[in-house]
Amino acid sequence: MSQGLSGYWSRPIRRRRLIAAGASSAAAAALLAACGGSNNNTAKVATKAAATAPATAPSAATAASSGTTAAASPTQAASPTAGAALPPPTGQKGGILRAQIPNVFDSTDVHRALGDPTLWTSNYLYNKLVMYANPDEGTLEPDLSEKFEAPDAATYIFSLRKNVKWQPPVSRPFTSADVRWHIERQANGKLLDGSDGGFTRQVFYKTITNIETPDDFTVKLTLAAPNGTFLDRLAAYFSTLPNKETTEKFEATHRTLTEEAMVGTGPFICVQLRAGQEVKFKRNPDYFKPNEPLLDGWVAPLIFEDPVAYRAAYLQKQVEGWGSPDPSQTKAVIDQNKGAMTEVLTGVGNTVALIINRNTQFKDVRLVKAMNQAVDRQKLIQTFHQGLGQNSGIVTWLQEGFAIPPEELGKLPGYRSDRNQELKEARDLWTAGGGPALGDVDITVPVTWLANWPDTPQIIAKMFNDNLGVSQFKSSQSDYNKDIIPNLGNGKFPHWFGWISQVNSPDPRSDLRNSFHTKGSTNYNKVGLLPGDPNLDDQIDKATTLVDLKQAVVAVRAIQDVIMANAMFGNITLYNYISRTAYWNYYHPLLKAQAAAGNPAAGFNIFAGHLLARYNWIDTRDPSYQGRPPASL
Amino acid sequence: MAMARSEAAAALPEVIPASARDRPAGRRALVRTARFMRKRKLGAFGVVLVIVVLVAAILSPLLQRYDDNRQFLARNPNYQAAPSGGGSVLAQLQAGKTANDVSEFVTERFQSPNGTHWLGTDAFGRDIYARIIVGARLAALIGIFASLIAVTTGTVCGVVSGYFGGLIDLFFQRVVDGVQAFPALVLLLLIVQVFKTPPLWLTIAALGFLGWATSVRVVRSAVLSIRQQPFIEAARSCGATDIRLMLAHVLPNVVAVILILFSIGIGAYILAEAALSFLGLGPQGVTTWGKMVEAGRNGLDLHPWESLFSGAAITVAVLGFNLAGDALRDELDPRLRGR
Repeated sequence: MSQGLSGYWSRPIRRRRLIAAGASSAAAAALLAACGGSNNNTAKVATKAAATAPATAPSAATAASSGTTAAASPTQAASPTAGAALPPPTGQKGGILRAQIPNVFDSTDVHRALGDPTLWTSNYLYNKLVMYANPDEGTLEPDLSEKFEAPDAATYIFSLRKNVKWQPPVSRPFTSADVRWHIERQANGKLLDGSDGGFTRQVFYKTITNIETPDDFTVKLTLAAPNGTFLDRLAAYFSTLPNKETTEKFEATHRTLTEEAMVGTGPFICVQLRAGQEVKFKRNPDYFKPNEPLLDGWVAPLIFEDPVAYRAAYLQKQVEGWGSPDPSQTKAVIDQNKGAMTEVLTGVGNTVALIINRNTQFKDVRLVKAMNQAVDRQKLIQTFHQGLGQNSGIVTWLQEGFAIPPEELGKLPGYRSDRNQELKEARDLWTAGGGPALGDVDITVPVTWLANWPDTPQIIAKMFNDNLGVSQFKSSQSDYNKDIIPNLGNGKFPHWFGWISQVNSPDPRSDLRNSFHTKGSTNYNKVGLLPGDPNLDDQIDKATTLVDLKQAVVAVRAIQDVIMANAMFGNITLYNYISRTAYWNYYHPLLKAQAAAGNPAAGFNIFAGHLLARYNWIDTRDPSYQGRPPASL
Repeated sequence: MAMARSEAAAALPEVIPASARDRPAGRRALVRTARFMRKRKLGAFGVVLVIVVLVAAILSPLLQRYDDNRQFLARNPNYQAAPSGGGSVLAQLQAGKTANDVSEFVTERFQSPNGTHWLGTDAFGRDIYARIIVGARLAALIGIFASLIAVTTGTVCGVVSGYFGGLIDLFFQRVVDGVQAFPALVLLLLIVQVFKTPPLWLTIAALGFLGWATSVRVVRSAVLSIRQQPFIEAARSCGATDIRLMLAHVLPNVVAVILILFSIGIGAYILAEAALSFLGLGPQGVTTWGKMVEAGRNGLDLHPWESLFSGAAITVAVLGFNLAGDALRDELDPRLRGR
């Protein structure tokens, strides 16, 4: 569901092409995320230990790579299935990566950016206080901090590294004052001229009631209430720290793209960020993490709006990776180039959902339940992704540790394999709830989705008409920026089918709070506020404070039971699909698990771009490197 | 009855042989058709194609076999439900299973032509033949109505402009200049983008609007020569009003031009709509040939059927209307009639 802090609900997708790379966003996500070396069995064993010990030591590997001392660096696993550490980087240094990123930026100010492209990109240029060592499992490691401690769930002490320098032209040391500014600016929500700045994560930072900076390299944060997900939020991709001087200099012109406006402490320095041009990064020679990044630079070409052109560019090695909206085509290309390409499968964090506006037509919960049962999840996965996907409950299967297990999910209304029974119940509910009297029901489909699957409106309208035995459903196209996002707050948003939030953490508690708490920042369907709704506030509040992950899982499960019993209050999660991406063998992307015995490799399901600098490399000795056009910054 | 036929035959121009004049009307039509087909073989071929398209359009509910949006789903014989705790679908795929192994039902996508699906199926498992038949209806609808709008409005404006001349003519021609100054496709894109989600009627209206300018020009030219004719002067001197002159004397003499404009226009509008749909800017929520070409384009090398057959359908329709229009022009234009 919607994630509060990054807020897909309020995320503008500026142009059709943003996710026009759409299924390619899958590819992009796979490309940007990734890295590896774990297997599920070991993860699950380790999980249990992690669940009861939220402040455990990092692995030797992560300690070595981050320059920390293991004994002094607590980490916290956000997932009860967490545990395995990533291997140290071993790649060849040098080379310039050519891979596209969803480069439709809405701002250069990460505090105010609504769109993910800016936030994702900041992970290559900036750092965070803490970061995910393994995003899918939620294990943390220090980033800008050298170590961090959590004496209790409301107090967090960060010891900052002393060797961190801002990139040129700022070129001064990074200190605790930078952290204070980063938090206070967002919590206060004011710009230099005193006006409201539209800070998207203000609610989160306002929970920090006290900031102490006893010296240049120590920060102590005190929260208003215990929060078991606090570190998890700080590690998410939207928590990067920008430079104060630069941000303030470009505060009034943050929507104008320029490389000068994005100065950080990270592994890459932005050398070109201009509208309509390739994005270019070069290695930061003064980066504080030794031996990072492996790459000399990165050129991100403009997004290919034409999938055929994208494929051609890939085959000519003008980009290192590619994925088609039609997975069979990607598979065919890989099979035709056996031995030269690697297949990578990645769960796509953009959940596919059906959002029903309960403020307008669907006030009767029976109608929402009817929709939940009438929608055919498996057929949609077949239709759009050729079977590469899996049903998701309100907590997606990407968040495996907290999600309802598949066998139990399969017994819930809307998820059962007995479609006849589902449809019979759906029709009864539709009739009982007064569905036929609703008149025309328009399920809109955002244009960004249509860029990949243009016939979706026909398929959606037919599915509901056939399954509910009516002819009142129609489907038209909508626009996230014009039709959906501006109307979320006023409750006049259209019903829509398409992508919703980017799953940003294995721990779903923050997302659940934002969408289903009466004070949630993205509770646009007024859950708990409409007549007949159960109130989930106490349950959510309690779950959020829990530090023990085992207890948190139990609490989240109880919350899910209520939400699922009410057809997710209109925020009907459908599924998360799986992207298939092809990479030339000379390129070693960030992978969670390497390809073995002819099986595909695994990318990270949750954004892992911050690890790219550590793990991505280009092997000039690989035979497939022959014929690659030279790359330059 | 015989007497009446004889009188009618006597009224026919001398160019029709006496033997022909004595034939019944139905037979005469057959003879004319046969002569037309013999003289204008390409035109006849075009007419046949047009008839095929129109029959498909009119009888599409009977001919299409399946709903054009029906997705064919089949139980997967290879499916084995994962054991409890067997891991996510992703984990199974990464362990070497295929998408088919993990799906209880599979769509019958990308099938080659076969007995069940005569022209194969598309990426969503829909019958391509059914979609082409439904697309024919839309293509005919768009072509005919857009052409009708263009020709009707163009005729009215062209007759008025050409007949009155002077300031009225100046006004109409400058408006036409303005419309024609824009590249047609750019103007179409502009109109469609302004309305964002173009319904069918808007697409038809936009296409008709673009064709209007050409129709005005052509009809005006014809009117300019007609209005100089002595019979117009004669009628005017007998007291005929402008309206009567235009409706009773000018218009009937430009009917041939109008018919030619109409018939040739249909093909052009079908093509224009296909181009719009190919660009994703055509009518929404309906099956169109242009959309089908675009949908199949991405995987043309692996699954060519959708683009191939829908492209062929466009070719057949446009070729048919163009050939038929050409033949009609040859037949109705006295200067070309004998050729």
